[in-house]
Amino acid sequence: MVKCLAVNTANALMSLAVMEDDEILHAWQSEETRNQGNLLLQHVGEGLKAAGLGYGDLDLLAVVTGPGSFTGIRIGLAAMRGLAMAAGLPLAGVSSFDFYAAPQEGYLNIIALESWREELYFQAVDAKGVVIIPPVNETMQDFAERLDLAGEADQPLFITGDAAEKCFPMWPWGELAKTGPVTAEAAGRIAMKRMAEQGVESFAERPGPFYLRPPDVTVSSKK
Amino acid sequence: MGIETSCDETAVAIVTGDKRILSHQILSQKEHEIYGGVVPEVAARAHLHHIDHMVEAALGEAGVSLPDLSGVAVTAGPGLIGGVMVGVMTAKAMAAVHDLPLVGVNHLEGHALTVRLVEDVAFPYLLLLVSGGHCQLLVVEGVGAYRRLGTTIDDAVGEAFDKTAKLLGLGYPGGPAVERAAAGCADVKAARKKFPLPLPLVGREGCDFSFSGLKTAVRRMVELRVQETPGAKDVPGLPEDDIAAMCASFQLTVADILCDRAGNAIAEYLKGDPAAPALVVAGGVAANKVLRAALEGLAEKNGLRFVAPPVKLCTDNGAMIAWAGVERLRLGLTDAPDFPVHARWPLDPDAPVASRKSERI
Amino acid sequence: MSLRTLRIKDEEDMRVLAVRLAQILKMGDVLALRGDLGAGKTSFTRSLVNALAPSEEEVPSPTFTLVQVYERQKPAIWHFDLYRIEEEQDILELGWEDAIRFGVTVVEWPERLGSLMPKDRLEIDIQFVPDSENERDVSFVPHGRWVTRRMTDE
Repeated sequence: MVKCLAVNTANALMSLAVMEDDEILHAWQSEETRNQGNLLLQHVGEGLKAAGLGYGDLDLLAVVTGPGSFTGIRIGLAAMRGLAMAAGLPLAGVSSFDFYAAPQEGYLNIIALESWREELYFQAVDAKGVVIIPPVNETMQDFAERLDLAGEADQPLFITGDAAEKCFPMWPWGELAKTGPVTAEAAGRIAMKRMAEQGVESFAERPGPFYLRPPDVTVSSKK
Repeated sequence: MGIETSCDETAVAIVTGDKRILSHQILSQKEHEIYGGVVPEVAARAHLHHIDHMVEAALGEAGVSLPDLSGVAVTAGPGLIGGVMVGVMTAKAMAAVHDLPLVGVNHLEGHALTVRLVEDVAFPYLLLLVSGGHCQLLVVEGVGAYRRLGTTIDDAVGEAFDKTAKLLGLGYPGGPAVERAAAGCADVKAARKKFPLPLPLVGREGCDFSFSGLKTAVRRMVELRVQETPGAKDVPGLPEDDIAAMCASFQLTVADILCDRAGNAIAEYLKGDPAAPALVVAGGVAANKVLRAALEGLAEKNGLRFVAPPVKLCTDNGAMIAWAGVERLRLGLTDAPDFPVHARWPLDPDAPVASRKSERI
Repeated sequence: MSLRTLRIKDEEDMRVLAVRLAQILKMGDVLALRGDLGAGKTSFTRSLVNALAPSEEEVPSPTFTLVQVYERQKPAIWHFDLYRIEEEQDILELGWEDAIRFGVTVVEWPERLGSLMPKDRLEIDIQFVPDSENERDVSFVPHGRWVTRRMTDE
């Protein structure tokens, strides 16, 4: 029996879930993401209370690390790393991309995530989860070109992710699936699966943010 | 415990009510970056990677655990919102798990009260707060009670130091670099004559500052000197003596400006007839010895006690936030767990707007 | 694309212009300010901020702090000075996404934005007038949905 608290503040929908294995003890979500930093830990506290748990009862924490809103990612990570440190709990980082796998054999899955800019976050994976095109931050036109160049554009397509509907006109022969944002509940499931498969030791290091930058930025002047 | 992440230092400290600093952890991004490369304030992204480990290190150094703390204080502004948020979320998380009182501290209040961590200074005292982002004269009437007498109408004094250092190829941060170079000047009086600089607002009424014109004047002075020096095409071609003399002249000019404006503020402050009049200098620029000496002289002349916290407490640090937390906890001034962060947060929101009459468009 | 240039007599004239522009600003708007050092970009922003402030407030140059946020205004005004910025990533660190989603954004040195440059923006170019200390030429270049927007109520 694993008790897990999962939080996602990286997307347009802020959510949290308190779970015990597959069972959801408490779930909460809100589209009001503007003041999420001020309120996040209060919602967490209320969520735990509603589930009848304290921080000491938990076995695992999970947080969505991005890509997504910079501010949101940072708030979620700072809060969850703080909780992990203060409560002595393991913290699993779940990428938004982890959530979207192709639902059917023989399909290529384009994952499109919202960035609130012209460049979206993209990744292409096949149904087995093999990465065909690693995560990039670019316009849908540029990604379509990349897909063409890779010779992958003619396959049956699934278009998933919270920016999938926006991208549908680019690949009108594709099918839309999983167009909602990653939920905390999904992040919790992924984290618990990872804990079962790889053991709690795999969370020894607290996760950092998954920022993804456009490929055409000016040359870095960093050392 | 105090947490500070509003600028480029990630800092955590633990202090006690009887003025003992149990731990003082500080990680400066500045030291690791070459000036002209990463903008230091933006290196604030590193806060997220370090803050939880810094908290653990501070607890280890002090030999205490989280439940032993009486409260968690954290800078809630002003500053870069991203960095502030990281500190605040960490503090809120720790407070949530161990049910600790939370205090959201104004970074400037941290600077304003630090002196009381090391000395017994009674309210009200006159405070000159000089740092990279601020230049203000305030009467500290009590915890949370500040009356601003003057502020900069354009740049902060630290910015003028950084600019001057950059123009003279002296590196970053500018304050210590300029001070070091100026120390090589043998005849300060002659230096000032050779490289005269303007004294904006000096001699005028009021306690406001202006450093923008000084910045421009330094640039002109440097350019002119390069032109006048045979064989020198740029700043590195200038003789070391000249650079030292220019730094000395600049430093004394700043001292004169600060003393003139602080002089007016002292007169205003003394009108309130304080029982134990004191001039306190705080902020990173207060580490400069020449400025300290000049201000000490000014205080003495006016019958004020002069107090400046030690250098390690003048620059941004966690102990000042922890101490402000102690002062606030004593008065029962804790914050609700949903307290907000502020990018801008004046200590005295009712202060009149600084005069800009002298400014052109 | 339409372009308009106005000859501004003095600081007061500039203030009036900023106040008029302030009246039509709404959440998500981006103003890209160009112009030489000392041309009056910060001064223009100051008038804009104060036109929307409940009471007068200080508007310092954001050169050192990189960004100043005015939260008393609804929506909040974000004033960026990107002169010292070298990497786009750093702009995101300053809260850029929150600014363009939830605020009115004024940017000095907008060329630093690179790929972050919003499609919808009003560029305002403030230029010195030769041989005149106080006059300025102010050009407006609308992009995206600004093209079809009325810029003033004249």
